[in-house]
Amino acid sequence: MTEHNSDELLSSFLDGDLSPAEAGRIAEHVAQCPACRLTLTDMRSIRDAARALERLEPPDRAWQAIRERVAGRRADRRAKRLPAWMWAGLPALAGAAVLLVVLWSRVSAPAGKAREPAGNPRALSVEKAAADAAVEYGKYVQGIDEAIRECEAAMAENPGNARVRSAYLGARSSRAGAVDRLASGGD
Amino acid sequence: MAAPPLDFEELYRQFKSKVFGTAYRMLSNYADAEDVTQDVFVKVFKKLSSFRGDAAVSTWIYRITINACLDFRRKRKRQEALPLSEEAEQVSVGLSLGRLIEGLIPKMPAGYREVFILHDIQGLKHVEIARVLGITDGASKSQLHRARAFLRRELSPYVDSRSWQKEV
Repeated sequence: MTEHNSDELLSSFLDGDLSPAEAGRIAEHVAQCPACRLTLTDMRSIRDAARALERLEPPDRAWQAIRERVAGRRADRRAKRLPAWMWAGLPALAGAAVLLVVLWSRVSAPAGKAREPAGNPRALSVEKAAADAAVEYGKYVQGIDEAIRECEAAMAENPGNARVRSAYLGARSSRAGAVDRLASGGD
Repeated sequence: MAAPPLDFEELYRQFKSKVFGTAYRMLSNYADAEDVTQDVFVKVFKKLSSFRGDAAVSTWIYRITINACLDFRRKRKRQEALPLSEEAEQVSVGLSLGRLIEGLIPKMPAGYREVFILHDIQGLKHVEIARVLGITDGASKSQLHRARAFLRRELSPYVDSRSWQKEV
C-alpha cells in the first residue's frame, strides 16, 4: 500500500481539483486504506451536507426598503444638482431675463411708433441686440422647464421632500413670471 | 462589444438569495443579514453605472457582500462564537449534519469561514473565490481544507460512530 495522503490532498481529490494521474494514485490508495477512506467519507459528508443547506431568501420587505433607499439617493442627487442654479442662480437669471425682455420690448417696433430708417448703423445694432435677447430668453425658459421636469421626477420618487417641492413651486412661479413679462412687453 | 446594461431589479431577483444566504452564514443573525443585504444592493445600485464588466457580475456582487459582512462585523466589534444550540448538543437523538454545520460556522476562524461558505455552501469554484477574496487559488484550497478539518474535528465529540453520516 502506498503512503497515506494528506488531508489537504484528499480534500482536493474530493473536489476533483487534482490531475488525472494524481487522482488515480489517491483513488488506488483510498481503496486499500480504511483510515484515508474514513477521512474522505467524512469530508464528503460535510461537503454534501453544506451544499444541501436550506436556500435562504430575504423577506419581501427587504426589496421595498432597498427601493426606498435607492429612490432617496436619486432624489438627493437631483436636489443636490438643483441648487446650483435653482436656489442661488434663479434670482439672478430672473433679473437678467427681465432686463432682456425690457430691452427686447424697447427695441421692437411697436405699432404707431416710427422706426429708424433701414441701413442705419444704430438700427442694425438694435436689431442684433433684440435677436440676441430673444435667444437668451429662450435659453432661460428652457432652463426653467428642465428644472421643472427634474423637480417633478424627484417629487414622484420622494413625495415627502419639502425642499424639492419648494424648488418646484419656485420654478413654476419663475416660468409664469417670465411669460407674463414677455406678454406685457417687459413693463 | 459593450456589455448590455444591467437591470437592477433583475440583479436583485437573481442574487438576493445568494447575498442573503452568504450574509446570514457570515453573521449568524437574520436581522443583521437583512441589513447587510440592503446595504449590498444599495451599493450595487450606486456602482452599477461604473461596473465595467472586467469581472463576472457574480464575482463583483459576492465581493461586495463579503466586504459588507466584514465591515459589519468590524463595526459591531463582535466575533462571538455562538454556542451550539441545545439541539446540536443532542446529536444522539438524530440531528442532521447540516444543522450541526450551521451551528459550527460561527465558531470557524475568519478566513476559513469565508472560503467554506463560498465553496461548500454557495458552490463557487476556487478560481472564483480567489477573485472574490483577492487570494490565490492555492490559498483558497488550503483554507477550505482547514475548514473541513475544523468541522470534522469539532463534530467528532458530538457524534457517536459517525451516526450523522447517514442523516445527510
